Amino acid sequence: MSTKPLGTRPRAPATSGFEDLFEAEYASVVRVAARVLMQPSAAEDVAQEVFLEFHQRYPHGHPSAPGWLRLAAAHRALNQLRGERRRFQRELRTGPERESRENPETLALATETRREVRAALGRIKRRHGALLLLRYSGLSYGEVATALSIPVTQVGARLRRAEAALRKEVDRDHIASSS
Amino acid sequence: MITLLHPADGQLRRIVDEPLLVPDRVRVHAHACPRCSARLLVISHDAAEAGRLLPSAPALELDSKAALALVERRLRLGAPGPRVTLRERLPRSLTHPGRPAATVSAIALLVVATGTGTAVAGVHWTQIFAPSQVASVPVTPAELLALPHLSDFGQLTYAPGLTLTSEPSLAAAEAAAGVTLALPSALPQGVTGSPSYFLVPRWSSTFTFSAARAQAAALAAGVALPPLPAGFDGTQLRESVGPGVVAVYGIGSGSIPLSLGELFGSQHGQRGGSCSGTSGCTTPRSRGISALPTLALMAVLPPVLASTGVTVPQLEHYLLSLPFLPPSLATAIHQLGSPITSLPIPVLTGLGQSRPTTVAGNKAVLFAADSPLISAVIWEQQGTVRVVGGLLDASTVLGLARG
Repeated sequence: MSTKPLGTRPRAPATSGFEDLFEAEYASVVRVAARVLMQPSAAEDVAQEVFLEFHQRYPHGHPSAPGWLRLAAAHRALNQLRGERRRFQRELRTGPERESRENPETLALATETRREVRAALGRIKRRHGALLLLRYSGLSYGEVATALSIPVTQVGARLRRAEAALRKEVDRDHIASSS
Repeated sequence: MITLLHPADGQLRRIVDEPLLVPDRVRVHAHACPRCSARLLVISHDAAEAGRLLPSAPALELDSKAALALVERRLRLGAPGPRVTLRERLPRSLTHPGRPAATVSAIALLVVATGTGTAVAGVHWTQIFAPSQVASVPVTPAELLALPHLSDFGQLTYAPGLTLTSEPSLAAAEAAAGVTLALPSALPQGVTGSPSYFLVPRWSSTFTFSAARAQAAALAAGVALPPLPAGFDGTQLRESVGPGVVAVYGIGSGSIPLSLGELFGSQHGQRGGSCSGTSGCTTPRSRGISALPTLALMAVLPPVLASTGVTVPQLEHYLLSLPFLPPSLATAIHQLGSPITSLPIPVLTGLGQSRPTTVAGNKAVLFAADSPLISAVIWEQQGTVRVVGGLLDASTVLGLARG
């Protein structure tokens, strides 16, 4: 995490503070989106948009920039996932995912279980999905709390509810597919 | 001593992740109280299950500097411009029909401003650029990505692609192209079989400079443009390159190269132009290094630039004064020497090594990468740009070029 204050010139080329933040957080932000989208290029697009939005909103920086960036990436990725949900459902019915031009690793990772989990992520409440992504991307409870603007004492309870919601959706898929 | 208040689920959940940040009394209770320890076990199990379920990110190969350059460029141009797909942007910069292999963007405005273009009645075209030698311009991925698009300065029109056409023999290809190509008398180790021959079509494009667009881009970026030379606004530049001949060893009959970019090392060759502002370019799926030819030789007529009003020195002076251009790249271009006779060869730093050399007394640029092993040498000789390259080491490629 960057300790330097961010930019001083709105809409100017990125300042060293922004550059430091970008260098420090870019990979983590991409990783958050990639967990959902599974396509590196799509995740990088999300990260690009998120950093642009951050610079436009907070040209002078933000005290919890890493959390803000990851939360924004999680929301954008989940929104894309929801948009694709019908496609996922169709894929679940029709079998293996069509060959992607993305990369072979994407294909290898697109197992049935993973598709189900991604579909479940797209169905649970967005705040649950975002919380899971923040926490499992490595943010501490304190950082999650700051990013979500909630007391840190609420993180554990919300995390528990989010995990339960995810498991319930995955289980529902299993039951539906086995019946 | 067990406290009377049992901790909430949230507290127990935090014990799983951050036990040291939970007050001692809560932690002690959670482990000592049979009811709470059972709850903690369930919560711990559920957390582990969620961690197992959540998909991990796929393997990522990220270039944060290149990504930052993209974001900075969009910031300079103001709020949300067309989204650029990062993974497609880099190869596109190298193989895009609007940016032939022999261009670096600033010079892109010189050279890319190429053109076919339909000649407009009454417009007088004057040839202003006909290179007789090659010169390398080192460019970093970040610099390449930070360069402005031509669309920021005017209108670019180009043919949809540079697709090679199979020819039955070298003689047929040479006759169609009007250039000759010398094949090696002996093939190096690892190169076998007979070559396949292809015709490189003549390709051209036209760029029309727009003062209004340049001003709008500058305003959006918050920078001031240098004074516009007289006659710049509306000036058209037309570049044409080719035709030419390519001989390729080591490809199957069903594996015809899609484009020059694919043939000479880029795995993102492009068939036809399919680029738009928001969707990026559609590119064929990478066919991998195994699909590349072991050896390829090309002879092609060099790019020729014609203008309706400005000269190359005027263009160079103006472009080098633009605030968009990274200073290091401006310096590199400035050091090229004569802008009228040197064909700039952009060499992407970090992908391999390049060095100047000579072939038959002509200036040449040798490029070599170790992983994968790819080498190529390019030079201009008697009015023809010649390239020898393949999955070979640098000395072998240079030996072939020198005959």
